[in-house]
Amino acid sequence: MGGARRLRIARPDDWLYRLVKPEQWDEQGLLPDAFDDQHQDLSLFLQRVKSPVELLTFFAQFGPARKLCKTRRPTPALMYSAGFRIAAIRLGEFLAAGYEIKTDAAGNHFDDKGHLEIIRGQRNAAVWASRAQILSREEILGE
Amino acid sequence: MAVLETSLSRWSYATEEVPVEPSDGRPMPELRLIGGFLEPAASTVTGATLAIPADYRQRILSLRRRRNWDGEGALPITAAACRAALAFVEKLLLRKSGLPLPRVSPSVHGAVSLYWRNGEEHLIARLGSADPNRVDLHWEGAPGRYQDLSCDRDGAVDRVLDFHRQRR
Repeated sequence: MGGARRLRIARPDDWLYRLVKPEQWDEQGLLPDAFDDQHQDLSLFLQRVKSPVELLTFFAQFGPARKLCKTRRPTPALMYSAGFRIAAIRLGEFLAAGYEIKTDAAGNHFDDKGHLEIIRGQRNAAVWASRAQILSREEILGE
Repeated sequence: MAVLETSLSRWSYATEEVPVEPSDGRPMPELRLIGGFLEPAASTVTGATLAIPADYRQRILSLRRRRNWDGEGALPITAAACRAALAFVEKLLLRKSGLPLPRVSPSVHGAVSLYWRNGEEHLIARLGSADPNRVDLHWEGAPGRYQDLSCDRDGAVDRVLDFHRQRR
């Protein structure tokens, strides 16, 4: 007998990852544009589902990574060298500021790939940039 | 008030009047034209309000982008928007010597983003391609507070100076 599938629920102490493009950080750290985009809600990935390398590999298939890495198949190491980074921030930062997680029809917070969205999260992009940290090369690539 | 008739004309406000006295009352350094930009004369290093490093200028002017430059549908950033952003920074420094240079980045909204932080408050000025004479200001503070305001360049200068006047 199959029971009801367990809901995928994120916790306030969960770490979330966001891909940071080369011009979205500088020597002082993350810039607000790292947490801004043209989508309705702010996309992040759950650390306990998606590793940093998996996240870079996922984004390697898209145009900007190919263009900046000058290859059709960028590796995570190449992306790091081209300036791509990963920002890490706790879910609790968003919840404490009154933001909500977008849920699917079943009530899941994230999908099977760890993708999660904060409703209209871009509105406080600068605050998130100041609270998040950039993962080191070792933390991203394990080297 | 004095009229600056220099390279600023390429940004279409050659006849615009700017104060010759900084807002803090100290005498304005002598200005001369260097490489197409206003720079303080070498003899007036102290109080040199317009000492914007060349690489910083170049950084702003290099933010021109074609449509979809981020691969996710970003709006284009025009050369005019870049020049307007640089002119805005220069205007700020004319008004207030020692103002920290904003951190700069390209915005997917088709603008140059200029960013300042003051304690737990943040201010972003976006100079967009649609109308480089307008400045979109976005203020943030914790927890979850934000405010948007669109104003002309002079109004935006006042707002930015107010933001920095209040030490946090």
